Amino acid sequence: MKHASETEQLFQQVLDETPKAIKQQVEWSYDIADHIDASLHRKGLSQKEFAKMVGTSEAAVSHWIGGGHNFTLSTLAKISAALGEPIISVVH
Amino acid sequence: MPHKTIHIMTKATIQSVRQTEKAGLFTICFEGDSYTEFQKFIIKGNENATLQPDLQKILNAIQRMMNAVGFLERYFRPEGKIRDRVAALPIQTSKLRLYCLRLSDSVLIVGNGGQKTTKTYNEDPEINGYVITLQKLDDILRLAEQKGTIHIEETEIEGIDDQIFDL
Repeated sequence: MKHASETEQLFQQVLDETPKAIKQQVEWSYDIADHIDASLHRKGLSQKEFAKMVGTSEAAVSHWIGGGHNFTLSTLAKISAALGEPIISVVH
Repeated sequence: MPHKTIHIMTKATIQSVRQTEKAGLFTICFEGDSYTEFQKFIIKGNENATLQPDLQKILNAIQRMMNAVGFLERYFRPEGKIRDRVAALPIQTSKLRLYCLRLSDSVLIVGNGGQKTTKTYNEDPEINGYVITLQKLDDILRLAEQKGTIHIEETEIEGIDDQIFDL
């Protein structure tokens, strides 16, 4: 299993060398995706219904909850308004 | 018109890369190769300055899944055919794709990948090869699961260490 440990070392090396900004972007995009998905489940909304509420396509909603999406403030504001709850908060 | 690719059957093993409480990550290693398929993907992405940030995003996304909620279906894009478990992990601002077999929310086998420059995977011989390898592995694993020679138990694939597959 020499290859397995070498693969894990290489995987860890890339994680260690990843700039903090990229790590933060990944964390936020998945946190937001999970938040939206949980909120849709809580409210009993399908992706199709939610897409209609926001004025976008079902494919766009699928991308949002798929993680890795680079959200704009405009999109976050629309999602927040449609869900009737905050998606992000700013530290003062 | 899809390109035709010649596939030579090669022996391969499945190796565990990393385990967390939530998930287990595995990869493929072909007999005689110096690197696993996941290593090849990482090396390819890391050597290319344009691809490196996207590689970092993909690997950090995997690590986040392994620490948080596992390999949920919605994080992956289905590839291959409807009946198989082949999926791609895309970063939406990039064309870099990591092709994998999502066996459950807790078990993922990662293969190789690259830049998807064509509309469908089968238009690119290299990408098509990675997908076909995973499709073959999926068929073999399903059969092995039915026979009981392997068994997915939470984050582990029990019995996989003893298996050599013809891919």
